[in-house]
Amino acid sequence: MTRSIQQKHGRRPHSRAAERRPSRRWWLAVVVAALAVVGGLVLLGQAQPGATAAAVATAGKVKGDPAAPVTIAVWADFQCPACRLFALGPGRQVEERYVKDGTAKLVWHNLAFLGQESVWAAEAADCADAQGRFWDYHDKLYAEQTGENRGAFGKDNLKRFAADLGLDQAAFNACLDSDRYAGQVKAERDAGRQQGVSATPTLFINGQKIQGAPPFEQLAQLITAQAAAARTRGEARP
Amino acid sequence: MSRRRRPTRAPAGGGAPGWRGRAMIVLAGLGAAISGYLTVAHYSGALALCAGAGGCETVQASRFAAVAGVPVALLGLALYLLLLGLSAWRTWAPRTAAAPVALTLFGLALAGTLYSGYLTYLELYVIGALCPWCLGSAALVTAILGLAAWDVVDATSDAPARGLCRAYD
Repeated sequence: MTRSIQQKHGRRPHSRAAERRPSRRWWLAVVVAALAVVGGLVLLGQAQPGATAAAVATAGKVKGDPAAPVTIAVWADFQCPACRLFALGPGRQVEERYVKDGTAKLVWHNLAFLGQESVWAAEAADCADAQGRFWDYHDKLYAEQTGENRGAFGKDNLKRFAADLGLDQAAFNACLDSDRYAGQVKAERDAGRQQGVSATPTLFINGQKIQGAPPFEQLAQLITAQAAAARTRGEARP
Repeated sequence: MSRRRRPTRAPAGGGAPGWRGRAMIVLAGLGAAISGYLTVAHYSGALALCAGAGGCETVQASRFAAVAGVPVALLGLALYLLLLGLSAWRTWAPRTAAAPVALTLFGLALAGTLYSGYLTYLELYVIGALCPWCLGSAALVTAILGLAAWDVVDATSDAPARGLCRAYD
């Protein structure tokens, strides 16, 4: 009976080899192979610079992966209230969303134009940068901002901020007292003005100028568009 | 009155995956369409269209959209095309190399499901945006995995060695 059904269905009897049931080893091999492929892909993805969310690389006044396809140049003054709003609001959101995942990097430029304490604050931030702590000092300055040229960013307070952050106090104080970066701060301000920066904050997202502190949603739109454009041009990293 | 005897369905042992094969073809085809669209969107620079929700643009613009220069969407397209081909093989040539083909299908679907799970984790906890297309693809490959697992159990069962068909009622 069985044979007649096989003929009716046009089936050939199976050879012994074909009928052999794959052993558990084969199951195991398939599962291990699948895990190996996925593990390889995950490791490849993780190996890409900046892929880990935990660490945001900072190189001087650059925050994020230097090879990120989108560059957000920030021109700001540490005494500027709008800059503080940007830094603590949309700026932080951009960092969380786009800098940590390597899509964008922030590049800071001093535009110290609101008075002497702006200049001192910018110099102090550069002194912190000399110790590799620019962004910590940047955050501290905006956290401590209380008004323009009313002593909040006097040199004593600037030194105290450095102490609070655990910087090398002697080196920092010497740097600030000597106005080591005064020339650099002035040169940066002049460079900003030459680029048409007349107010703060002013952002350049891959060269596209935005004046003021835009809401995060607007920034997100611009960043994703620039990332897509960069990818199209083949500039984006893998 | 003579009772008309009806043949039972051939047992799946070492045999045709039946509706499961056709379902896998459909699911893999849908997956290929989604990943094909995302691949085109990736290379054209166009932002993926979201049906009213989600963060396709964000996911697409993130660094996780490519691995070693290869867009994840392209990897997905390659996977779905392989799944499509193997599903078609299982459906239309069920007796040819049944066990190896079924096992390969299962292994690929397993890898796809695990990687989709990892990508969904990234969307939720690292990128902070969900892409409906990616979630749809994850659901498709997971469904294919279930069917492939079922198929591989049948394809490697002892039934053929014991007698192929159960004859007639």
